[in-house]
Amino acid sequence: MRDFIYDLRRTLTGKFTITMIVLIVLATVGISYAAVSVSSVSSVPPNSEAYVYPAVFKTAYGYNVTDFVANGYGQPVSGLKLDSSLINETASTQMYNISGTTNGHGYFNTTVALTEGNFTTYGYFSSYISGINTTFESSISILKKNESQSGILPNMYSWQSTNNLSVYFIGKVANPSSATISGIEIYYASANGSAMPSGTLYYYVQNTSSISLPIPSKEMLKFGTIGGFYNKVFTLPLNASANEMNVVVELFPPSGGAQPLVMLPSATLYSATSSGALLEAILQVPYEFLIPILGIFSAYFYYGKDKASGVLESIITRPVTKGRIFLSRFLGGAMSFLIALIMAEALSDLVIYRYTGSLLSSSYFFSILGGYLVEAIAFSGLIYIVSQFLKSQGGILGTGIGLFFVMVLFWSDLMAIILYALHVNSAVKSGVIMALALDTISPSTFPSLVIYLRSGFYGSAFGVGSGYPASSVGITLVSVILVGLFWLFIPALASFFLARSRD
Amino acid sequence: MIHITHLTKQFSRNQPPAVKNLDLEINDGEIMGFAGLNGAGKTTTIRIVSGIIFPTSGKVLVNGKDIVKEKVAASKHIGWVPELPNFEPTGKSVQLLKYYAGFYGIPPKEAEARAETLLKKFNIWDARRRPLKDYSQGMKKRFSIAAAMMGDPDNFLFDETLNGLDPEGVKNMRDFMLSLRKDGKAVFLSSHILSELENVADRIAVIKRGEIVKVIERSDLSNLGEISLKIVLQKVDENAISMLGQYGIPEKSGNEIVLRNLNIPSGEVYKVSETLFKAGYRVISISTESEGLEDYFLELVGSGK
Ligand SMILES: Nc1ncnc2c1ncn2[C@@H]1O[C@H](COP(=O)(O)OP(=O)(O)OP(=O)(O)O)[C@@H](O)[C@H]1O
Ligand SMILES: [Mg+2]
Repeated sequence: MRDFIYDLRRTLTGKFTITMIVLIVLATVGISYAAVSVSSVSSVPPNSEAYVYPAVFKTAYGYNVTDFVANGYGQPVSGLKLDSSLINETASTQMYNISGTTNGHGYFNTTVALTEGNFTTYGYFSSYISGINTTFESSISILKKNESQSGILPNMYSWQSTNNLSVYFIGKVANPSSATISGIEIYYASANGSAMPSGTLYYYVQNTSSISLPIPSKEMLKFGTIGGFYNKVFTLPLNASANEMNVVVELFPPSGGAQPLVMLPSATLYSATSSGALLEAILQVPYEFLIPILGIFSAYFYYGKDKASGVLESIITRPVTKGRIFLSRFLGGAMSFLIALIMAEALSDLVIYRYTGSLLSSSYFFSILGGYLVEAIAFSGLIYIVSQFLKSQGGILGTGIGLFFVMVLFWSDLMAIILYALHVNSAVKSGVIMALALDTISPSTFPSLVIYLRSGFYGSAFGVGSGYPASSVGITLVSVILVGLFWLFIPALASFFLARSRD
Repeated sequence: MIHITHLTKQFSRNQPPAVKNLDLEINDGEIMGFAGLNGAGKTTTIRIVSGIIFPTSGKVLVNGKDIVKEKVAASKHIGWVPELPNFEPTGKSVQLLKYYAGFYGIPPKEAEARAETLLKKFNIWDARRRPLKDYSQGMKKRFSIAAAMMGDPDNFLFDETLNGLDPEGVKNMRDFMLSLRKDGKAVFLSSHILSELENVADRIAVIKRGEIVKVIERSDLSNLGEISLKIVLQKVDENAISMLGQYGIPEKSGNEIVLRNLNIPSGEVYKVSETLFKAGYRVISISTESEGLEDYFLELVGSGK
């Protein structure tokens, strides 16, 4: 046992292991970073954003300024320094600067005594507080009696009533516990400081290309009657059918009426792009090549090379058995993959977190890990078998490369030819199952099998019509675990017994 | 001590066994020569004893431990010096010796000190920073001896170790093996040249087509390996022959006399020429030959029908 642990430790600290771990981690994190930074709109995580919801009311003595600051989740941001100005548009040199810091509820209130001059605009400048950037710079017109305005920020809309000196904002915010569904924040401020009066919230999932806004409430789904607050985040009961669709949200006065009080005309509130889905998609192409190649090379460098060259003989004459040397090398390789994949996933997760604001769910974490770990170990197991029979390094490496071509690059084509030769109709379900069974003969398809299991869906990614529920074609937790166990253990055990009993 | 009983190795069904029913015992403090022509089965035997390949049948005990069933315990006492040393080409000597030492449970610090002593002893300490693939054949051989000594085993297997060494190397190696014998180690040394073994081995097992045909004891060896004298006189007569009779068995052919079964030590051969000279014979040449041993060897192992 000591000899086994000794050689295992050396395998794990060997040059090849370190190189492989660094390679997998760097490649994965690099690819994730590149993918995320290209597709990302904003690389600032929601809790590092700050949005200002401004309201300025003109009084007989001057102006009442109320700024509310919330982060990308709609949670109040306290301690944020705000610099703003009241601007006289007719005499643009006339400016009154305001400076202050938000309180524990995210508010900054101040009264400006300015009776001379006609200040019509309220402007903001980016401010900075440790770790938080305000992400916009904007200005609004100052509300006076019988005026209205809208459209201040992207994904944030306000409407100021013409009769009672109040302002409504509606904006899209991220959900801290789900990257899939976004919330909407409603903010209300009024000249007399009252809470929001009752209103009825409606929403509409836009599945046709054109609609005319605003949509009458009777054509929309009713969320409910809301009111009595100053700011609040709501989560609409959207389901997967709203995935990536535009959602229109409108708040109507309780009396009904054709015009909404405030409207969010366009926002994607349901998006299934979770961190896991993103990582899964990012890794699929590079790992398709990287994992089997490293599986093959690791078996070659840990074992096949030494066995063929005779280097292993000078070790076998030591107080150790062939079986234990085999195990220490094989398990050392498997553990290197486990360590490399966990590190790669964890670091990529952090990279992607900055984009999605959520961490991998455990089901994604384990399905990605399990799928590729099994594939790597299976390919290396196949090379361990080859190493028992071939006596030259070139022969082993050549077979490994051949295996890569056949079982990775051309496997699906080869299986398609076989299906064609057997006159299997892939349009019918029995043909689909047959094709799936043939595909499963190569460990290179195991990661996708896991993905089918996780998504519950087997078939083309485009168009639901051409696919099947995974369980209906035999992809169940049990069958996938059985295939995984087969690939983990059968090549390993077969080569282990050969290594123990052959010269 | 190595105890080989009924050892047989058959590599494939359609080939005769490479080793057949071989029995041999190599005792502590003994150097056992292992002589046979190319392909006789020497390396095969040694590789079985060292635990690299499995016997088809039969048993090998190393210090009483079965090399197959108690591999770890048996291998602790085996030092194997291969015919063609094969080490991690990019490896460095100290690091590799330390790796081997770990299998014996030798702590790294101690292993490092031991590696240094051995590398210095075999005169390759200066090459410790070079990868093993850059070593000369002789250096590789010396490194593999150092590697075999790393676990301080009781039994040594040398496969053709004298082969390919320069005269100084052969002398050093002989002295080294004699020192192992003095330390009570059992040494098994193969060669396809019997005379290479005669000055070092206590006994020589001769193998032919996988079978031991003869174990030559030290006493037989001195008879066989005995040098004969080839004496060329200007004129050979009966008197000269009878005079030479006191030193051995003379045999005349022309003006040449071959004197076999010498009864004087090789160091006193000068007495023969002295005697002839005093009797008034003109000695043209006198030379020693040990052809008897090789003849005997070839007779034993020769391909003959
Ligand atoms: N791995 C193997 N597979 C098949 N046959 C083998 C194998 N190893 C050795 N042999 C055969 O066994 C016989 C004995 O070979 P071995 O190497 O033991 O001879 P040897 O006495 O060491 O010869 P040499 O003096 O040339 O080193 C030869 O006929 C050889 O071809
Ligand atoms: Mg040999």
